[in-house]
Amino acid sequence: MGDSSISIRGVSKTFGTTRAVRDLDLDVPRGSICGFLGPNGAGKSTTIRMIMSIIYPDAGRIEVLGGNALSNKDRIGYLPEERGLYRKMRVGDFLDYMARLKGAGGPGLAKRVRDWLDRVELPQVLRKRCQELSKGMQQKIQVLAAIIHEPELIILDEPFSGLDPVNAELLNHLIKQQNEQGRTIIFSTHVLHQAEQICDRFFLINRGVKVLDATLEEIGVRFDPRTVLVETLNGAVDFSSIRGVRSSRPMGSSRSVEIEIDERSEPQQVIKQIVATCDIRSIELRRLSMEEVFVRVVRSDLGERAAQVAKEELSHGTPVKAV
Amino acid sequence: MHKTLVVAWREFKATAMTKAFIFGAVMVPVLMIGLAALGPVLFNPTPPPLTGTVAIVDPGGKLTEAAKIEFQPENIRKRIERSFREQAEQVGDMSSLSEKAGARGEGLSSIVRPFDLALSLDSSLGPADLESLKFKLREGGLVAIVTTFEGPAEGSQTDGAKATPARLYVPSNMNPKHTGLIEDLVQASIGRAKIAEAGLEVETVRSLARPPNPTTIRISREGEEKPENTGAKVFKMIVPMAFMMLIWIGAFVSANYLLTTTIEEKSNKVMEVLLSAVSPMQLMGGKIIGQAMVGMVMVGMYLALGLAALTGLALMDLIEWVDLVYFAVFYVMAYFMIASIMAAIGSAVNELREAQSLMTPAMVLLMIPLMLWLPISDSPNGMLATVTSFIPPLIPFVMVLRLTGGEPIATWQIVASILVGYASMLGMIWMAAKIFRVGVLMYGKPPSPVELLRWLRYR
Repeated sequence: MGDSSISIRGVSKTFGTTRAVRDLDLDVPRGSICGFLGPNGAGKSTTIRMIMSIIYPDAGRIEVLGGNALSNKDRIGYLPEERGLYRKMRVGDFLDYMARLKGAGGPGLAKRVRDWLDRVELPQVLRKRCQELSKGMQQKIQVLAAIIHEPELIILDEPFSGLDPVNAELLNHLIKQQNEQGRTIIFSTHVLHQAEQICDRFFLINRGVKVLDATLEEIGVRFDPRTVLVETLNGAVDFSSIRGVRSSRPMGSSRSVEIEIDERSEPQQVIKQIVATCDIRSIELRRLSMEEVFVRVVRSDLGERAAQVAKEELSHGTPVKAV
Repeated sequence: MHKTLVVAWREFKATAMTKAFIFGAVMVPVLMIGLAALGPVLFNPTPPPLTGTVAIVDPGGKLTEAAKIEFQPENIRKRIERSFREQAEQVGDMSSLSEKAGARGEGLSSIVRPFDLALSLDSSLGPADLESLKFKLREGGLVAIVTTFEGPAEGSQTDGAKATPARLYVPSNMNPKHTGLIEDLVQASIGRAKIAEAGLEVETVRSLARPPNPTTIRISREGEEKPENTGAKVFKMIVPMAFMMLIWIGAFVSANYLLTTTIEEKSNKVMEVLLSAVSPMQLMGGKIIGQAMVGMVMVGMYLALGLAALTGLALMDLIEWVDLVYFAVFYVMAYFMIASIMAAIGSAVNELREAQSLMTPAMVLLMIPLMLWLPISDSPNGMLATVTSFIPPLIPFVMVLRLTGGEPIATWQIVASILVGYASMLGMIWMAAKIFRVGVLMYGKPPSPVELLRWLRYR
């Protein structure tokens, strides 16, 4: 176990004929923020449910905070993907109830509930019934219900789904804050760019198989930037004839062009050739997005066809067809 | 255990501290008390005021003589009271009340209130005046006309009028109670006239015609003699049924709440949130305990109401304290059995609508005790009663019927049925917990009963 909050070894889970998770190994370091990424249907929620001992693996072993989730429920905050509220219950009562269930009752609880509502900018909903809240407000209350007992491990399954950009930013901030206070956080999402903003470690999963497990630095080293953004002074130019350029794509109606450099060429050499070709307003070697990293990993592991499918799945947010 | 109690308290609050529950469990008994209090007013045996003249056309004069006695105000009042007492004893619910009233020296006058009654008799007119009397009756000048002959339409002349059984003419809009009263009085007058005609003493004949019931005395094994309250006979039939119904309704209603709150938690998708804090067993245990408290409040209300009513009617001797102990023992058994079934069904479905198909077999099972009421009450130690006392879901209902019926039940049967019942109850809770654990996280097509059983084997 060592310094891991969660340790998974050789875990598999099958539903009927579907292999949801295959031989998964995973370590979530204490005090980290880990993004558990992949398209919908990749096996993220199944893995999280197994971590929470809500369902059990067919094979393998899972350790959470040195034991299992059942024995450490009060030390874990969990926001499930399938989440809801008691429609007729008042918000304050709901948070109070959840805190008590997590063993965090006591004299200061009412104040803590009010403080948390203040922090998510919802002080006015304390006495409101849950059914009176908007979807975004309900989502914030659900997040509060997961963390109100101040757990040391926070597991959030798709916490950003349904949130507008302002509330997504608020939640981002909240997650970072919790991490700064020493809490380990793992959250799943199929919107990869959100994870990029806050995670220091990433697990990429595709069709039940882990395809990447690395820190942000490791990803930077392993997946060197190979995309160049060029803005010309004289309109869009086709750079595809330059040696080492895999593709050259104008971006919208502007004078910008996105150039992808093939794996065998040196980016610096290609940039030199680009600059020599035409008048340049700006040129930038762009870091790979997590989405691109994901597609490249799938491509290198499973081939071009699988990469295309993964790309489509990420853009649609749902599985498209079996590989 | 602490978390189980937290769940239980929320379950209780969410169910019992709602307007619907307060209305159903508190207001209904209050309304019943109100209705019971209003009963004597609503079902007042005292007729509305009646004043006026009854014309008697009785050429022979014998009926007139008798009617003069029967129509005396004091005799009319006695007649009303006697008729009321006879009706009450048939129903069996007021005899103690009337006895109590009698013991206080009030007679039935405390129940049958004095009313404005002043009937005078006019026997001065003959058959020839019948038509003018009928006209007077239509105009409201008479209360009724009594004749003892066939009218002029049938006879050619007055002297030739034939004597017939009496006829009574009343206005078409006369109150039925008044009509009945005057019919009674005329019938009594005819009887009195006939008895007198036979040369017999009227009071003697009447007392002979109404022989008193024997006084039944029950002797216990210990030799204690207790006179049977005649009015209690009907209650003796009703008490076991009331106990059984109280168990049935109390257990079924609160278990039904359990079903709906479980389904609500699933359909609101709050179940997985809860399961991150408590185990399925803690959740189910808390919910069952919470609804048990709801049931206790409800049953407590009705039981207190029933006992208060029996105390008020001086019928508490129908119930022994041990009956209440048996009631508690079998109520707990029945509730946990039904609650287990409901928790299992509630966990397995996504909506109340889907629960119907699984509820049908459970409901059929639960209806059996209601159908067994009469045969078991008739023969509490018969084969049917004895056998069904050991069939798990029926045990609490059958045993309460048998134990509160008054007929002694063999001690070994009581002990064995409690043991079998509680062992089955624990088995049912165990099975429900297994199904609950799987069911709460299952969404999609609701399972069949066979699939539910398969879930018992899940790890």
